[in-house]
Amino acid sequence: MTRTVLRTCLAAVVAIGLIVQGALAPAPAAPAGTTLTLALFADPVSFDPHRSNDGPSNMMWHQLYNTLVDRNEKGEIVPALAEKWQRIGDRTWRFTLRQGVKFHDGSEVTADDVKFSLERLIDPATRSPAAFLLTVLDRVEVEGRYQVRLVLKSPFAPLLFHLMHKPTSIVPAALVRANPDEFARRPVGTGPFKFGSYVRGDRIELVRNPDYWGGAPKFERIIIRIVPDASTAIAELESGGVAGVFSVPPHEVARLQRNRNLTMLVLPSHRITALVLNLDRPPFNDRKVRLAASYAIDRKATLNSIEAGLGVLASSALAPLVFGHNDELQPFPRDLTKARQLLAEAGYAGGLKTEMLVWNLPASVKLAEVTQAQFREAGIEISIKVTEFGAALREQYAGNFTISTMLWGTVTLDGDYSMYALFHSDSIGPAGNWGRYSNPEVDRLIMTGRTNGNPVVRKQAYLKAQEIIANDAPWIFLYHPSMVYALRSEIKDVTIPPQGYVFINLTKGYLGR
Amino acid sequence: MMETGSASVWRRLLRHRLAVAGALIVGGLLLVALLAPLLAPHDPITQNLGDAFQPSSRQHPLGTDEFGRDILSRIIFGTRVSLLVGVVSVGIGLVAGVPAGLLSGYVGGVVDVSISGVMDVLLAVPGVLLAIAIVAVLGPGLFNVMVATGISSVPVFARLARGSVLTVKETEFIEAVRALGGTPGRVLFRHILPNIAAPLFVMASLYMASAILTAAGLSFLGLGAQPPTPEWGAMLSRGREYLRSAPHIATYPGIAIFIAVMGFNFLGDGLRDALDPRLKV
Amino acid sequence: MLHLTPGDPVAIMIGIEGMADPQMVANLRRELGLDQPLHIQYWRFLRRAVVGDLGKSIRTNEPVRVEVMSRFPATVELAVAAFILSTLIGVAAGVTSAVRQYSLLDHASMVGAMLGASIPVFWLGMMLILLFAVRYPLLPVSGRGAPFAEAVALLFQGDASTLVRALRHLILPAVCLGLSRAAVVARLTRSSMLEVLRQEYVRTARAKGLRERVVVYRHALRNALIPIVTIVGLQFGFLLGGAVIAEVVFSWPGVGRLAVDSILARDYPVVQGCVLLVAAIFVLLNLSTDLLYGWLNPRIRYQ
Repeated sequence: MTRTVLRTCLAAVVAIGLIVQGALAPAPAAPAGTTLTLALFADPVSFDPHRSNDGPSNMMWHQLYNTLVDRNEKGEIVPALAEKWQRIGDRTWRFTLRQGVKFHDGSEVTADDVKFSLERLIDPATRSPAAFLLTVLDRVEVEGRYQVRLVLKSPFAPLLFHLMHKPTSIVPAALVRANPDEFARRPVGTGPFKFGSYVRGDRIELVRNPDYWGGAPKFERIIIRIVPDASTAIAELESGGVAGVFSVPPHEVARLQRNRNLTMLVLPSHRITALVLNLDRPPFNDRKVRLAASYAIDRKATLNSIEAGLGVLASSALAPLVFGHNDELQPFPRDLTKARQLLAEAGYAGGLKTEMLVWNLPASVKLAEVTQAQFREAGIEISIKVTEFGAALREQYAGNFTISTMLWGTVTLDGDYSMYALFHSDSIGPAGNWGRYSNPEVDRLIMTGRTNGNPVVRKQAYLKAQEIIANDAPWIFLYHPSMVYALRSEIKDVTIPPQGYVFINLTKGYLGR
Repeated sequence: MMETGSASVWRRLLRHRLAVAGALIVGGLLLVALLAPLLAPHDPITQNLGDAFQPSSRQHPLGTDEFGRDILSRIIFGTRVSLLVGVVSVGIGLVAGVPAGLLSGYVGGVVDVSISGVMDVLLAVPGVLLAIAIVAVLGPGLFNVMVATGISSVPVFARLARGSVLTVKETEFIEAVRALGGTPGRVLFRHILPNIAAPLFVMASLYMASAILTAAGLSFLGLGAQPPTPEWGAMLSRGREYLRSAPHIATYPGIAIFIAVMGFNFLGDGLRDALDPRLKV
Repeated sequence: MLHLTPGDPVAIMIGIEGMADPQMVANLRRELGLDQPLHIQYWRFLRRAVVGDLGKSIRTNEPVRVEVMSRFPATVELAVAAFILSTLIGVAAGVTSAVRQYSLLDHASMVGAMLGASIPVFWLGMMLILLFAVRYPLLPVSGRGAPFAEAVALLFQGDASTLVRALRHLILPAVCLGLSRAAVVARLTRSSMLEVLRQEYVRTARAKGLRERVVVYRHALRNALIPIVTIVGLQFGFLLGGAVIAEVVFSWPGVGRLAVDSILARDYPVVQGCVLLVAAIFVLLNLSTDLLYGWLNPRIRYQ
């Protein structure tokens, strides 16, 4: 009797052994060298570029569609679907399209598609969370089969930088009009890869577009696996299950750098990690308290603890690689004596108690914990209120907080994107100026940067604005974290530009040995 | 019946070696929880960023976490959290489930049908998922996790109490009490409850184990204890990010959960054998 | 019921680089019916649920039914694999223990069962990944190899590699999920077997001179199976629910992970859909367990 049981167990063990051995045999599925598998930390919200604005979706749109213009690796604006363009008036731009570009279904890209796409993005009925990119757009006029005129409501200098952002991707008007939901399920664009299949929570498959106008990609297929947990994604990378990971925990970098099978990319980013102070409420309506809080923070220690030191300390919302960055400004040093003195002057000699609104993202919670400990040493007691992301945003829109965590990116790499949204008094509320900062001089400078066509004048305006903001101290600027990505070493010629992984270029990549 | 002499229960319990081990573990946990401030070598909350990611040393026997906090101290204080979670969850289950089950079994009729109906609905969702659904309604947080695990234990205790009442109710002993004019409340709480205490006690011990495990699981998923509370599941979840470069951060809290759950399982199992060998879960 | 949650799904849809027009947010809330009182929202939900319309996901705008059902096969696969594993290991260990009561093997497997029931699933999963996928890269780290049904279909077209891949991806999550359940099954099998082995008819069978193996399997196990079937049937339901954590650890694209993701994103309709589906399956399983019980137990069958 026991023999039977044992025999059954043995059979099971043998079966398992056979399956395990499958690991050692070469997988005959896809010919090696033609498929690239990447891990992504979340599902894209939508394949329709006008229905979301999250990172994973943007990354998919970058493969499936094209925008009118693009940025090259050096950050210069280069032609994409638009062959050339011209600012023909204060508020008018003309774009000439590249001829003969085909959507994946074989139809040609025309001026009608451009008009449809851009106007669809800003149509309130579309409900695109990225509509803000083109709120200045009044209308698009079709001037010919391959020519459009963009008419703006007011002069807008950074238009081209906004037109390279993925939500402005050009979609086939006829298909989308016919059935927008079906289009979102089986997207059709002009990009280097066509949509293959998608199993939510599992994987996305893209296939090569052999007719790509920019030259056919070398990879036959791109598989994007959804692996939410960063440590699991790293384990996949190390064991060769995936070839690229875009959510590398910073503390793993040193260890992974010793692995010869991996190429670690630690790149400067356009992001800012900061604390927003509410200027409408005590205690931070008092500049002295704001300065005290800023002196209480040890930025270097915070960067080391949360990002393993990968990044640069910040003195402004604009990272060094963003147009308009002021490199004269110095980050606040930690000075507890000064902090206590300023607090005493502001009437908080006995210490200060308040609450910090924190997004329920692991990185934000960690930041809050470190800040809490550092504040305590300066006599500032904060309690941490971890709030689900959406709810926290609502509180922030409404100005319902005294201090809160903030992560922001200047995706267009142009100062306007952040300066206008974060510090202009018109942006108070949901647009981004949650701390209710308002300074007429800064407003004027930001508008100069927004409307003036001369880059030199624009730059000067941003430099001055950042100086004034640093002095007013509406935020506690902490650091610009590096972007950390990991690829298997056999991946060649895959490039990630300064805008981040979303804009990863897979058209020239291949698997080497 | 259950009229077992307490001396013989003790003897049987002691004969059950695993039960003794379980009792020792549970006793140890209680002691650690009570004496936490005395036992912990460091403060469990205070950060020391310069000391982060230290492996075990004389100063930090189990090493330090990403904020330089002493892991041993955090585990010691975490004992309080986990025991509290277990006690509160089981408490909710007992306080809400037992009267409901007693009533249901004793009164019968419409009362029984409606109470059993509610319990069946709760039982229709497997434990962990029910707890998750409840936390989804209440919002994440340690207290809400206790409520969630508590609520999901209510039908278990109610069903046990109801079943036990049904067997006890028809005995001559209870019928005699009723004939002598005992009020239903009196009969239920003075005569029936003591008679079904043994199975409830066993179930409580076993459920402590599963409540601790479920709560740790919810914290692991980010739905439970919020920082900087030293909760084992949350510590483990946090440590997962550093699993490869500093594995001790996730490993020790996992072992702590394991030991605590094992302790209550051993104890409950031993109690079952000692109190009522026929009782099955 | 999930509308009591602190959190506003509309803000989620608007997203991080929000800058949404407040008017737009208000319109969206109206469209989703989130501006209505709770009882009206709940009534609407019930009315639609009865006809199989669970609403639309707030995050993706897809019907909840589609979202949940597309994840369901993955969870069933995992639960079935864990179920087979836990039943095989559990019954084998239980029978062995009972036949050799008080032997070293018995003690070892019962202590092992207790330990197995006490291991936190998420911790076990992490350790399994570290050991069998990273340290000794024998098995894949995470994810689902291929839909099982598809893999079987390919097998009939002569492609076995897809099935092998699917099975290899299944092993670690199934072991992780099944182990604690195997412990429960083992303990129950043992006690049930012990009880049966003491029965008259077993002694009679032995006295008739039947071989031990026939006695144990033909007579004892068949009767001992009755309570085992009940518990094992319930186990399957628990596996469906308990799969949540294993799915998160192994990035398994199942209903459990969908539920957790949706809770964190406040996608109420999807959470409701997930819970409803698993509860429905659980009830169905209970029912079929009862039927099976009747079939196995002649005393009930002939009533």
